[in-house]
Amino acid sequence: MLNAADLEKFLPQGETALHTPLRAVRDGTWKMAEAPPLLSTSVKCESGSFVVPAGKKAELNIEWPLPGGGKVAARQLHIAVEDGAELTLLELFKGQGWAADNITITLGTGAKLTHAVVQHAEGIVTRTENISMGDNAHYGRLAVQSSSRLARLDVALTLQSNATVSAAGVNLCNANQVLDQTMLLTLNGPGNRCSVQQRNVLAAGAHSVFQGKYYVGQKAQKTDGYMLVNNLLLGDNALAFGKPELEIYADDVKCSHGASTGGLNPEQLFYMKARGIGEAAAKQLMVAGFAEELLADWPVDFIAAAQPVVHTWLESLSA
Amino acid sequence: MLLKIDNLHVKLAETGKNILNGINLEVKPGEVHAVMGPNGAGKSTLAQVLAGREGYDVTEGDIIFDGENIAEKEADERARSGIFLAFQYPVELPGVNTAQFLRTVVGAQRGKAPNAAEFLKQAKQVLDNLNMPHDFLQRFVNVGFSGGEKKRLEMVQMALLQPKLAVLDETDSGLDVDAMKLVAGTVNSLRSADRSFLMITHYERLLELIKPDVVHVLSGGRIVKSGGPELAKKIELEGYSWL
Repeated sequence: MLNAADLEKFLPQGETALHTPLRAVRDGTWKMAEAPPLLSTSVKCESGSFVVPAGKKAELNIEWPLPGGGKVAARQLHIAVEDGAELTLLELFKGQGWAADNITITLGTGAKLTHAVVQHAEGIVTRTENISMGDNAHYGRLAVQSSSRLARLDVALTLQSNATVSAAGVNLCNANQVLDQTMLLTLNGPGNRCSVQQRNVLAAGAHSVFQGKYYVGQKAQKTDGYMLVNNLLLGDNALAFGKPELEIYADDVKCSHGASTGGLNPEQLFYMKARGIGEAAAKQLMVAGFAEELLADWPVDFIAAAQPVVHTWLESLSA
Repeated sequence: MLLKIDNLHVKLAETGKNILNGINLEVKPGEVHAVMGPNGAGKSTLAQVLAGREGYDVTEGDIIFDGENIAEKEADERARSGIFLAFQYPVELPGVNTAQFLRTVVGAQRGKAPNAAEFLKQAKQVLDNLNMPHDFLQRFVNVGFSGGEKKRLEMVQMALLQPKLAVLDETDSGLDVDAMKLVAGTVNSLRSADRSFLMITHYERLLELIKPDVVHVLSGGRIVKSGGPELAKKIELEGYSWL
């Protein structure tokens, strides 16, 4: 890990090392040509670019402020993880207003991106992400959303050959909210392995959307793709739209998808009650478990960012 | 008397089918009772009804536990009053960390969560006694556990909760000889003058490891015979056809 003085060598003149606004690199690409193996920093981001040079490792935490009530912010970020490089990226959203962001990410050959989007804003979040993956690249994604009146994460992934994708998403929806996760995976080459899991928890009157699609091109032989959406309905008039899709033009692939929608499992509820846990607390544990099962295998920082969002949402539910 | 079941009639709420047809049973503090019987006799229903499972209607009779009629009480109230059910098929709780779950369970019974460090130490001791690795505490409850591990986690919970009455619903099923000895050791270590056990089992071999005071035979939703440990031996040799 670098100390602050080391880090300043890689920053534009006049900027302090940690908690540096990304406006420092708003006008150009921040190329860490001489960056040491591990760079860890935390920035408040408006827009800009971030490049992890070939063979290097970096960690980046971005806090996206919303522009305030009644305002719209349209922002852009480009991230490049060059051949063999690794990036751990944690994005947080906070505040009010409308954030309309566009992210492009390119992963070089053998590059690895571990990415979390944790969205607990009070306004509107609409976001498009275009992620282009080179051969043998890996993309891991955790997206946890709650609180927004309207949120749509629209993710398009393009894979070449022998890449892996592991995506997990959790939407926690209250009444009069619409939370949408849309994901299109376009597979252009052979040997890709992908897993997409989405879990939506809906309070009474909430609305969630999951649209997921594998487009498996003619050259994408030996694809192994999996897509699953589970919806947990906690009250009346909750509405869960789930549309996992496959469009396959290769003839030697393994692709499956599934969807489930239901309430809390009475067997699990009885088991907890038979241990003395009251019904309300038992239900809260079950809902937390449903959401947190997908958080288990991510970096500690991701879990630390996502878990409070789950717990805050659960508390708001019982309030 | 710790438990008195008086003329208990139970039917399935969904189908109206009668399952228990006048059970009478008395368990004094410190006693170990075994309930045996052919498949479909109503043994597991008795265990579930004692624990307060929904889906069964008590149409007649009383369940008096520790001086109070509990027939109308919720499952969690019964558990907090000292009834523990070791499940025949322990339920998986995906996403629920075992250590946190155990601490929540003990906290629910005591009225406040135990000190985390002290509790962890106690839980590890109980795991050691049941020959379970400590990393079970970091796994989701029962998820990916073998059948025997699930049964042992039931015993971990029983040992931590120290109930007044433990109802063991075929806890011996699916256990190998060594695991059965560990389970029996846990039960025997918890035997005391103020704690009772109601063990539902198909096999006499468990009763060689845990000596019961009374053996009952349940058939057709009624207790048709009661006796000492010799009754279990007779059933092992002759089956139920002589009854």
